[in-house]
Amino acid sequence: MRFQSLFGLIALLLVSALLSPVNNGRNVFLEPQNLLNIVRFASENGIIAIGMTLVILTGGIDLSVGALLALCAVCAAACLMRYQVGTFPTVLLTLALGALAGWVNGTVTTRLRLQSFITTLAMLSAARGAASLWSGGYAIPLAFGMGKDDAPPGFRSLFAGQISLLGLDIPVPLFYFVSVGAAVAFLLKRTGFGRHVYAVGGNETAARLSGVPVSRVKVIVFAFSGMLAALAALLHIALVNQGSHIDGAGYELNAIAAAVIGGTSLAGGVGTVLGTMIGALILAILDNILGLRNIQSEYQLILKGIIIVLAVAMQRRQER
Amino acid sequence: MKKRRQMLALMLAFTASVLAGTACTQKQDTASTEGQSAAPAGQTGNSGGKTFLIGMSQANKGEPWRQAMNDQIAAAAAQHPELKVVFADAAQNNAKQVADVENFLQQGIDLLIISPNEAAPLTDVVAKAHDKGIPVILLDRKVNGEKYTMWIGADNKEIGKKAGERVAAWSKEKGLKPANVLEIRGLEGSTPAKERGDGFRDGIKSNPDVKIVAQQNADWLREKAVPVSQAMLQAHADANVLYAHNDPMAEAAIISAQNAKKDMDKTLFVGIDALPTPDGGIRSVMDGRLDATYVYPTGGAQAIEWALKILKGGEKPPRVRRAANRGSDGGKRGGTLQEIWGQVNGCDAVF
Amino acid sequence: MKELRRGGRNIEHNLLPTQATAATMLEFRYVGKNFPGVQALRDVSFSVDTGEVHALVGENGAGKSTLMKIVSGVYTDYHGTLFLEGRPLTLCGPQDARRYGIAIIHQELNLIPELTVAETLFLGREPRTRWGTLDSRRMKREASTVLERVSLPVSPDCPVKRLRVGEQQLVEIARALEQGEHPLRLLILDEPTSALSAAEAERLFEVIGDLKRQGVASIYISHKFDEIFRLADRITVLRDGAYIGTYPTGEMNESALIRLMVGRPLTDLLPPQTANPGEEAMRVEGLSLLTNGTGYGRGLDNISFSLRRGEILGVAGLMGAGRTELLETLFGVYGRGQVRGRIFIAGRKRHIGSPQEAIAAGLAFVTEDRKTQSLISILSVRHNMTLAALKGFLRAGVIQQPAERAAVQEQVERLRIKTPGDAVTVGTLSGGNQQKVALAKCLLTAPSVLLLDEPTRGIDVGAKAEIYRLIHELAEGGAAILLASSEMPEILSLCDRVLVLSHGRLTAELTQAEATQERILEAATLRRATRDAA
Repeated sequence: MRFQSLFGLIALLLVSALLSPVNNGRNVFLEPQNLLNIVRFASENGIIAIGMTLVILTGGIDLSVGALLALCAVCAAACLMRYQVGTFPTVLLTLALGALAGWVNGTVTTRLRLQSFITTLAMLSAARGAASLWSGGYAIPLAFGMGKDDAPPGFRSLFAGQISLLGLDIPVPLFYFVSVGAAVAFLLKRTGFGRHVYAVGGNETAARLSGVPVSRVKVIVFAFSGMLAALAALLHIALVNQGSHIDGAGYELNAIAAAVIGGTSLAGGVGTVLGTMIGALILAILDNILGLRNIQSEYQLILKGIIIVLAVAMQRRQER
Repeated sequence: MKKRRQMLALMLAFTASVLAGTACTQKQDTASTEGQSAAPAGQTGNSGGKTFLIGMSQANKGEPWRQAMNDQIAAAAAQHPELKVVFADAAQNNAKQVADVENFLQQGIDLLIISPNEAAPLTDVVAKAHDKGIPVILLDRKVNGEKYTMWIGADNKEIGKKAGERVAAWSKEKGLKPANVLEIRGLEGSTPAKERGDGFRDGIKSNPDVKIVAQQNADWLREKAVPVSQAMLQAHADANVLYAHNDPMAEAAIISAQNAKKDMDKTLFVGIDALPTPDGGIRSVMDGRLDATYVYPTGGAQAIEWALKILKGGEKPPRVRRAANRGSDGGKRGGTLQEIWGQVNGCDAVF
Repeated sequence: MKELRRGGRNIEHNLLPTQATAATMLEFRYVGKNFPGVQALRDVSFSVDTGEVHALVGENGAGKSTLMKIVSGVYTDYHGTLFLEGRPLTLCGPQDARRYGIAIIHQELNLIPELTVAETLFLGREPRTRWGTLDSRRMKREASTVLERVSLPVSPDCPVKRLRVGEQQLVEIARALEQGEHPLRLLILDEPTSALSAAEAERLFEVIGDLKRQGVASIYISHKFDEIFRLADRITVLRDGAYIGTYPTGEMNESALIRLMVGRPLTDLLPPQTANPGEEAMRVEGLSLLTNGTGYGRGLDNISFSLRRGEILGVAGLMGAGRTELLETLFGVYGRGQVRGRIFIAGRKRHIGSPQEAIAAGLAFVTEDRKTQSLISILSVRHNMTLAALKGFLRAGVIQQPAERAAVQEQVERLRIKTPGDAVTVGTLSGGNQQKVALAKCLLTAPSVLLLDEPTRGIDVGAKAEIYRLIHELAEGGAAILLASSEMPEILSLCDRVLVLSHGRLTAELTQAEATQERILEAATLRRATRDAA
């Protein structure tokens, strides 16, 4: 199944390279700078999608990630600009806020025995409202510099900087993406917690009867998803230079799309982190090549829909 | 089981306290209108010491430009103690906006200011208010038919044209042959995006060397415009001008250009809206990021001016008011953001 | 290529005159079926007569299910020919089979839990009024009639999920009877009584008898020899996909049949008794389960007993007597608020409020329904097996894979689980092997008390014998075993003592010497009789 999405990625890369515009004899799509741009933009969605994958694996869904991204973006921007607390406390507070919101998602879901679709839908609404109140209805712009009212430039280099490696300027979001992916993949494959995640999604009753702490597992995955949304928010504000309450609209759907293209089953119990990462890359490449070809946005939307269905249908066939 | 009950109690308590909080403000509202609702609507015109209740129905407060409209209305009304404005936000939902207006009518408003989400769905409810003898001021978008008192709005096509003329002049001045333009468009299919695009094309006609080499849609959103402009810059490394249909997207273009290590001094960045907010376009021009932005006036302050004239003076307003559009070279002006906004927005010449 | 061959065969066999007599309902002629890499069925030829109950026996994997899927239209690409009443029969799908009056009742229940009984019976062909709306009155009326035919005293409005497994099976049978305009010609029953109580099974046998008198042919698949010898007119044996033979029931006996099925003599299914009880492993005092007035899940009323190490204690009773509920309550499935009474494990009073605490207290539970309660069918054999005992394989939260693999390998060998490897999805194994995996999962937690609920439900003779042997080994090794079963022979020959439940009450506690079929049945119907009188 994983190979299926990998195959899809390679096929898309080939098609994109073929269709790419050529400038002065150079293939624009294959230029290192362009490829780095793709992974930079895939990273944000990819990180959210990894959290989403955890939740989906337990048989749930997290619709609140986009709104949590907005809330955490406002939180981080406010911490940096209004309260001037410095980089490190900002990062800590923002991640804690995301994890807390996720914890609330999980606790409400398990304690009140609601479907996570409903609880996270409620959180989506609540988080947007809170973000709008907090920001005052306008985005909080970030000005980096050493001045009194400026945000520490260290924050930007930490989340939107570049690292020179092998002669390439690697955007730092890629490092976050890869390390989060590796950590969560290890968590799922090699730890007891990971086994519990798959068991809860595979058959909740059997998992409970096998002594798996089902509620605790669910609360943890939601908290994880919230925290990864917060991490994405930090990358987001460093990229767009502002924390806005309207950001992240529809991000939950992109994250679900990445997970599903990567072979995660919405029924729970089936899916891998690597698959999701590939799914996020596929979506980013698609956006990029359609942009490079200057294709009208309506066609982009239609094409994206078709590709999602195709990707999932092909995996279904493979399963049979 | 116990925890479940505790949690439900907690949620209930929170809901109750929020409702109680808003109930208080509601009470104040009704207090100030109690005398009002007793008086017949027709008498309000010449009663000197009366207070007036104005309902402001906003289509979507999520857009900064509309938030600014609300803020300007609130600020203008604050200078007139006899005016009290209640706000409602439809959050881009036509049905909600219809309900909001109905709600206002129930509260007994004396005047309705509305910035409709869409024309057709709101025509009936606006007509209903108008039929009741309540003056209606439309902002930005119109409704169908004639049943409203006045419309205050700006001309997107005119703004687009001015932006185009600026680009044409700048290109000639720099001697660029050709001058390549990347256009970052607003939500595909929306009227402002179409008009800002068409006007721009009119504006650049005067200089045949100016060419739009790529155009992409970024839904008015800064976060979406970053990857979009990045790809455009990648495909067109020879771009000289980035024209975005609003300031947030123009800001995104600047970020992308910096990432692509473009020579910022040789590239022109043009946006539209010029909001007087900390994240707005005027600030950006003052800080030297944007090269130009064009005020798209919200008409909020004018709406309050005209509301006063209608309510207190019984004046019959013109049906259509156009606010002036002017380029903002913020760096050349002094003062606070609000003052600059006042300078560029204050003149309301009629077109 | 395959098509060509099949076509060729058809022609060849159609030329031959059919040897069927007028009484022949269905004839199989040289029927075979290939799966990639496996020949699941080859050259099966026999016939089923009108008004005959024809038993089909064989171990799991012998090809019974494959054959029945061919008859019911699930598989359409097979070799050979079927004849229905002398005419060649070609089915395009399961719906087609229904049109010919062929109905199948699967071993695995196939009901939608949220629908009512009436909706279930008419699913897909609901009666309409003349305005095209649902004619629910007619639906309920007809449903009541059909339910009477299977002697199932439930309301047509009752949701299927409220019924116990046994009652659901009777609904399935009722659905097969309710064929509408297509009269039932052939009824296939796949392990129909595996979840039924003795009384319910009796009702079913009566229904089968009725149908037989009406000339309906039945193919009866079962592992239960007493039923086969009682019901069947003839017995056909399959082994490893091959046809072994068809025998009149009168000329057969149990051991000869086992020999034909297994291909080797099986001295005795049940091992000899070696009861050697040690000290007390578990004591239960005044255990009650409150139903909270919901009526869903029946309660338990003041049950007390004790269980020694090395002892096998049987729990008998009719459907709904509370056998499963007793085991579930001990295992902490129900919330603390619903449970009263005290549980002592090895002399210590333990609070068991969740399965987690039950496992920590040394209990293990093999549930009645493998598919929904015990196993996670999409996960691998290894992941399933170590799920309950995962703590033992962790170091700083990380799984020590070599230790885990070794433990799994040990269980695979000990329980003789037939699996291509430990990474295989557990859902692909046969029923018997799945049950062994479920058992192994429990054993890995090194329990002192083992709760087994219907441990041999729906598995074949060979696997059954192995599980019996295993239960004995465990008891000999000092485990205390509480065994709930609806199969009388299992209770009578395996258990050292028997608890009999009736309507949530403990009505008898019998030693092995005292326990006879009659005494158990008497105790199992005790309260029902008094209630009927009242």
